[in-house]
Amino acid sequence: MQANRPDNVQYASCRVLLVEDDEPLRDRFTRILASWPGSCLVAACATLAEALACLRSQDIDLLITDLRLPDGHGTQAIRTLRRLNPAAEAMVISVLADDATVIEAIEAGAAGYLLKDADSFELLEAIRELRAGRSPISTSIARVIVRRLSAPADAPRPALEQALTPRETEILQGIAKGFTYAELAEQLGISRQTVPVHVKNIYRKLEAHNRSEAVFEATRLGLI
Amino acid sequence: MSAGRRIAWFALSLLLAFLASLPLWLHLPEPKSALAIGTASCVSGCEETSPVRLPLSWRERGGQAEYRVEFSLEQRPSQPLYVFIPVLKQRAGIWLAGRQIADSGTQALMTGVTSGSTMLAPLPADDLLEGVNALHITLQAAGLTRGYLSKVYVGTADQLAPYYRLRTFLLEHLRLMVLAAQLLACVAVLVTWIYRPRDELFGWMSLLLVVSLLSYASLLADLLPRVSSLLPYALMLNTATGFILMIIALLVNGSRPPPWLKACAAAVPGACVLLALSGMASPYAIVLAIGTPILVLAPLATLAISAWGALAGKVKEAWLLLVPLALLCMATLHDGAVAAMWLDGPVYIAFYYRQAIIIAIAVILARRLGISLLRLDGANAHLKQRLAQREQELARLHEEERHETMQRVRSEERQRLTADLHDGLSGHLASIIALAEREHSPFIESSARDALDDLRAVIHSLDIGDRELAAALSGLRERLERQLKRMGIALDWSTAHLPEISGVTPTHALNVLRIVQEAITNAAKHGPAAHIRVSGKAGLLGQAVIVIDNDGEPFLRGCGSGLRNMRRRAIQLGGSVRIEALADGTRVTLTLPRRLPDPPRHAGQPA
Repeated sequence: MQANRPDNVQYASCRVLLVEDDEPLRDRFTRILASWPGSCLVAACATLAEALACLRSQDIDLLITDLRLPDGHGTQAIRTLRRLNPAAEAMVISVLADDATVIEAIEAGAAGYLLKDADSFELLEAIRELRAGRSPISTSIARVIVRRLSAPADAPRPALEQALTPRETEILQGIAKGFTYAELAEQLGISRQTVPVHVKNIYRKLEAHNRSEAVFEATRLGLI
Repeated sequence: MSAGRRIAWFALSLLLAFLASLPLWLHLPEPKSALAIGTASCVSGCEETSPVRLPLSWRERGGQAEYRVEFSLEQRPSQPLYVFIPVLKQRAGIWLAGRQIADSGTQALMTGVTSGSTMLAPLPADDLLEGVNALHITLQAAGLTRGYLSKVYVGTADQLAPYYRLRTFLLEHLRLMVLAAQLLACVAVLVTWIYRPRDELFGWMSLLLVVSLLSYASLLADLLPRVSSLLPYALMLNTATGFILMIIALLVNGSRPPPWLKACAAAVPGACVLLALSGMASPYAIVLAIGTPILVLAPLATLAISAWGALAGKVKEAWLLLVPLALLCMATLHDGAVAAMWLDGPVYIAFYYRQAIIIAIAVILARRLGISLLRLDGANAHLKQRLAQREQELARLHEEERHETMQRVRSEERQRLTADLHDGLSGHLASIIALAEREHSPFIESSARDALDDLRAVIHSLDIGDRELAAALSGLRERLERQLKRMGIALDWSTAHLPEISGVTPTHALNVLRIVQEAITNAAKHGPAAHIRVSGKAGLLGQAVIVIDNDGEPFLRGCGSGLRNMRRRAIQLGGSVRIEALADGTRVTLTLPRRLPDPPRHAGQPA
């Protein structure tokens, strides 16, 4: 019966990898994901090593990872995933939506985040939104990114500001000021649903910019 | 310079020039009512043949002569009579009836080369006869001097004394006053130069004033006869003043004096002295042949230099030197004419006019000092202004730095707290939520959720800076949206029209968030509402007004601890909370001032 729902048809092949070191939380997320017929939970790992092994051995469409792991950092898993399968998506599990580590994860390639206390409804909606090309953003995240935009860049580095379109910059600034999606959409004359699409593009540019900066840094240090 | 000041300066210059030129053309008054004797007969040693017309002037320098003048009295005088010789040169003795009645050499102070003397002597009544009386006058001139004898007057004290006093003043006292003035100027310039040795002009001025004191050597010779043999040497050394004057004029013009001129100032007098000492020429001959031409020509050359500087170089100070120099040159020419006997008169006046140069030097000195002080004042004012600007700048930078430091400390604190939360407390709370859910303990789960939300509020508010109230509220919205969604309550949120208010601190932000949260929690729990609307707008006075409407039960008067807390927090914010019942719900209105009060020092921790 449920197979007839468009969601399920669309995401029938969504292979999910969960990485969370805290047992009750891992258990909880596992239960929630298991209750979602559209997904196929490939594995629920507690360490980075397990996660990396799993990533290398299997195809993953969606990585949901905690950042602080006993043997490393979740961003490594995200980078590995994005390198192996650029079409795959990654979400981070964080206790705060404005944590600096969330930005770090976004720069590593994550396009969404989950709060640790997210209930099943929130979790599944977040996954659905992400799979539909829409990313969440909080005021705090927007503020951090806007701050980076206004920070003076070193001359030879590619400026992040140049990578963003004027519309994307407007959206970032509006969110940072505390506007809701609805207010922002009205102000910019776009649909409310378009805002998170722009946000995802912004995240992708952050990732690309971060990668180019890493290359730049490596070149500068003579590593490449 | 304004036209008025220009005219004033011009008028003053004319007046000074007029006064300064008086000696050149003004003749001293002669006694009118006294008996004037205009002829003399020669007794011995005279160049002229008798009778001689008075005043008489010798052609030769030095020497001695005796003259006889006669006057007749109708009767023996009832009052004491005096004989008055307005000007003589250089020393005279007066004899009556074979007795000497006066000797200018013992009376007059000034018997020097350039000055003349005046003489007033009482005629002993016993020796005066009715009819013709004869006075014998012996006249002496020493060295370079030519003898001179003016008319002779005989009269009462009343008739003669004023004229005598005037001449005594001019020929003796005034010269001493001039000497005193020169000494004073000499000290002033010397001290100035000592304190400012790098100013070459002051050095040369000092030298001029010191060296020209040598021209008083004749006075010294009068006082100390022993040094009179040194007199020609003093006059030789005095020739240095001619060169020094030229150097000063060049310096005033702003030009660099040629080294040979400086060398001349020492070499010429030195050569003269050596020449005299070697015995190749007599000292007086050297003074006449070298010293006098230099002292006549040097002022003329200096006049040309200053005129060039004043007219071509547009140097204002050159004018100050030019006018006295012009007067000195006139006086020098006058003296030259007197010496050549083209002009009548025994008194050389150049001596007086040299003081005009000294006055000019003093004026230039004072002017330079005044200008320096003015510049100093200007520089002081400028520096003070600069200092004030720098202080202001420093204060601003300090304030900025303090602010940045505070920001950094706050940011570091927040990062530390966030890290702690992330690693510890929040993870545990999230675990508790998961466990409570698994164990089906809804109360524990709800409490843990509340605790986690509260922690998030604290963390979030720590990052709030001034004028960022909307951002703080937005963080609250993000948290509440999730809760209310779970509870099935619709949240309508609009803070786009909320005015920016200043003075926002993390403490203030947290207080605002707690009030709004309390209002929403009350509506959700006790309302019970299906729809909550939060809107921000500006008050009439520009205050920030946050209105929380819900469609639950209309508010009934009560005083729960929640309401008390809301009011207490609003008071801390300098604002107010109003709770009112609507027809179909309740409205909470929070009004905040345009500027939130500064937090008390001890209230650093969020309440």
